[in-house]
Amino acid sequence: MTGVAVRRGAVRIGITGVRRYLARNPSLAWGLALAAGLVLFMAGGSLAWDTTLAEPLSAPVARPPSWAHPFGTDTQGRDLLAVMIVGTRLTLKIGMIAGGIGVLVGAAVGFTAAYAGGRIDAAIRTLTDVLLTVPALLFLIVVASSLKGEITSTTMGLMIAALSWMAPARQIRAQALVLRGAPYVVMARLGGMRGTEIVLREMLPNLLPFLMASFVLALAQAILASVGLEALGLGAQDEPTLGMTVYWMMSYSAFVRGFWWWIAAPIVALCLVFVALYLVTAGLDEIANPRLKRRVVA
Amino acid sequence: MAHRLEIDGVRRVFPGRAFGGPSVVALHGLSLTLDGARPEIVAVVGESGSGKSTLAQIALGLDDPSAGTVRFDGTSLGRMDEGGRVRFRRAVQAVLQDPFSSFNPFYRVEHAAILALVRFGLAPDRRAARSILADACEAVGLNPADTLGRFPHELSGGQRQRLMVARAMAMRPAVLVADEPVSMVDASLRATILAHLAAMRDAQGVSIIYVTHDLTTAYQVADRLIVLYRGHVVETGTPEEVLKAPAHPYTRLLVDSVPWPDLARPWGRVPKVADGAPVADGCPFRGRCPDATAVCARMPGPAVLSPTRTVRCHLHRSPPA
Amino acid sequence: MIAAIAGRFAMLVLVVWMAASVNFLIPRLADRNPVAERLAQVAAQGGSLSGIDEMVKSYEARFGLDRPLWQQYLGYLGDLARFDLGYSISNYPMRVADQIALALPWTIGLLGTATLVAFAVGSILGALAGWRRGPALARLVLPAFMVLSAIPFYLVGLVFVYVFAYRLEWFPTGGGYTLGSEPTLTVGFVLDLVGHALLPAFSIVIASIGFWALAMRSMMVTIEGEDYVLFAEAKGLKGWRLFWTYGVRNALLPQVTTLALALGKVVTGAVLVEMVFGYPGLGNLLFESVKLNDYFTIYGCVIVLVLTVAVTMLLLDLIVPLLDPRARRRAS
Ligand SMILES: Nc1ncnc2c1ncn2[C@@H]1O[C@H](COP(=O)(O)OP(=O)(O)OP(=O)(O)O)[C@@H](O)[C@H]1O
Ligand SMILES: [Mg+2]
Repeated sequence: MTGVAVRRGAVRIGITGVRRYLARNPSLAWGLALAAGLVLFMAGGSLAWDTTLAEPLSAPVARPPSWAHPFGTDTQGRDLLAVMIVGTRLTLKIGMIAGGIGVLVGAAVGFTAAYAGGRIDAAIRTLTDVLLTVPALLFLIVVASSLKGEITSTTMGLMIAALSWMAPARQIRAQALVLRGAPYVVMARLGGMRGTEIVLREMLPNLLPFLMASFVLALAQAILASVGLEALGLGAQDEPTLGMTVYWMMSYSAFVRGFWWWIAAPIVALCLVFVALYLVTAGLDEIANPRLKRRVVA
Repeated sequence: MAHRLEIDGVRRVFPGRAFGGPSVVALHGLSLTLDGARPEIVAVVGESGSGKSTLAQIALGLDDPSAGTVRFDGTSLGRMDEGGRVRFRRAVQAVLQDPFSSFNPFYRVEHAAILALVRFGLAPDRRAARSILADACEAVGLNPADTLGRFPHELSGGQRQRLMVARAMAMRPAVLVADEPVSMVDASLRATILAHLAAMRDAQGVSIIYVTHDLTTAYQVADRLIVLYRGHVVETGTPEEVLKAPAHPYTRLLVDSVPWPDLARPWGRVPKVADGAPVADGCPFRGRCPDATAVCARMPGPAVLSPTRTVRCHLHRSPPA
Repeated sequence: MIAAIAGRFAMLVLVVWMAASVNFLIPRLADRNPVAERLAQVAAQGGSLSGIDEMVKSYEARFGLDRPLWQQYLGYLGDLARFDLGYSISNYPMRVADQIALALPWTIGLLGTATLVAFAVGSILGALAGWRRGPALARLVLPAFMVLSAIPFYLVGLVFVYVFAYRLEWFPTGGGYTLGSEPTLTVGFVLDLVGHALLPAFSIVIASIGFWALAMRSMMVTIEGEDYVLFAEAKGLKGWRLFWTYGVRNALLPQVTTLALALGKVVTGAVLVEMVFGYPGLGNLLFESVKLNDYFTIYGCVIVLVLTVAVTMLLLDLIVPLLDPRARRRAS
């Protein structure tokens, strides 16, 4: 009987469960669909299209869309479809580096603050509050302008990562404080568990939806910051990220010369990325924030 | 080996909120000793908010007293070395008040118990630990087959509570701190579980702090009774002494509010409503006490009525030695 | 209360100090000599820069590169306290502080107006959408604005510039006013100003309505379930009176707190909008300075923007308790 019975645990939701949940959470459903579309575009594009065309001088200059170049080409002789495929990937890579490091460091800092308490906690809290007051983009402008010309998409990701941990740290600290007093954590302590083990074994699994939401949010923020920097001309000069495409388009007067396809390509791609991330974030918020969930159901 | 847990003059103050909220004194210098050489069940009774759970947390070393010490086998918990802490952890176990969140929702219900049994060397491996736990389940009236292997949300409150008692029994502690362990189970099971607690005391020599606001069960199992009022111990004694002839007006109020089976007994003398503000000094109960007089503005000292019995009330004096 | 205000001031000082320190440290870590770079640049173009000697001297003096680091640092902080931000490298002998003084009113005007409009429109839309008896239309358009709010202002601005300025030619393509026109207080000039501000302001408004609407809607939904609203309804109060006096008034104050939290995002968003429209505020100054490697102007703009954000946040933080009896009670 016990062995046969199907057990549905908090995390073990079947396929039908997922489908039913997504029907109740359209924001998450749409967001995931869009994100899947973007991933498909990146992956399928890399396979089906010659991405070396994203290099300058590999295609005729400034052509409107045609069969040979469905998205047209820019004045540097780049095929814009290839640029979009590579650019979306690079932009997501920057976001992943920054968001991933941000959440990992944020989790470590947040748990440390919650566990250490006292002075250490106060110091961490003040530091995060101060850093959060200053818009990250402003700090990044200072750093990036000092490194101008030497920036790659990887260093860009690392740079943004350095300012991506505060928001996750603050949220995770608050969560950890709540969980620290949870009776099941107390039971674990009575069972002989200690600090790190409790965090990893008892707290972390319950924070997974929350960490996920935190990560997507950090990812979105990081992409926002990187594209902003790039549009200012402070990105990787020889990598065709989406933001750099916007910059090149602006600096080579695509507007005056009426190259609408060059204007449209990065804007549409970026809008899709931002909307997808927004929808997923909003959807995950419902999972990570039970209070919201109740409201959605009611 | 018989262990000894001494709670000595423990005071616990919860600071007020940031902007000058009043701080709460949850315990005012409470002392209580459990000696493994003479295992006993000590019932701690008192109304909601009287500090029972705070006492339990401090006895378990989960909360630190603001003043006073908790000693285990003569060593203060604060100054214990690594080995001492591990010994303490093994020896002092708990049933927590809140059965709903005492199980990690991410794991099956036996997760924490099995880990602890293996870690403390009570079972060589997980399989053995599981069978020890299963035996304990049977003892508290749970069918292991349809309890173990489930997720917490699949069990009722009473089932979870019994599982916690089972876990505590399986851990073979020297001291058990049970905070309202039977508040959610029905009367017949309650008797069974209490009988098991008594059996633990008799067969395994376990000392038990039994926190409850249920005087009848305290009367059934306890060897000693401590009545808490707003963090003060107002009366101690054997349940027999205290409940048959309560000395403190507060105890009397508690006893009178219980619908005792004895129908001749008057029930529910209308108590004075608690006045909101805590009394700054003097007898904490004087705001509600029907017998309060001017002397009550002074804190009464403990009066020793018998070798087992003390009370803190101006109505009583220690008989001259 | 006093302690809370003192704490907030300490925070402000910390924020500005940290931003200043970053401004001081980063260029040193990157080990760049902006003046030398500029000289090389000018030499490469075969030109000569008037007053370059003075500039080099003032640069050396300013950073006192021969002095120990901590002395340089203290000197820098001292200059900053006197709002001495040094000279612009690309516009020598213009002072950075003067450049910023010229640009700041444009930014404040554009950003302030756009934010107020977005705040008002968004809050009303959100309130209507959150009110059970509100018009269905509000609930219909809300999702569209929410999705729009995911998109940075400047991307919306890019679309607007192309469509309304370059294609349809309804609006000027950039700048703060028509070049060559005399900045006077005539109707014509004011119309010119407004005409130039309209598109950038609109990009900010369109892309931020959804943000305010969403926050307002959740407040309204909560409030509508409160006892005092149900009670007022039972008393026979209905329709718009109920909506305004009980709904909007109670939901609006938390919106001010939301404004304080979103301020950084709004300011950086506006900076980039100015870049798109060549609008003569701080954002554009920043963009131009980045292009020309004019480091002192970049750092100056950043410090001033940080200061603006931090001070506004402080003000909002101090004002909310004055307006809101609930927060006031909590604070005292
Ligand atoms: N973490 C805390 N912070 C602040 N005050 C607390 C905290 N824990 C307990 N208190 C206060 O200490 C007092 C005693 O609380 P305690 O939980 O010990 O009561 P109790 O006797 O167990 O009540 P119950 O029967 O309802 O469980 C209460 O006034 C409570 O508000
Ligand atoms: Mg309790």
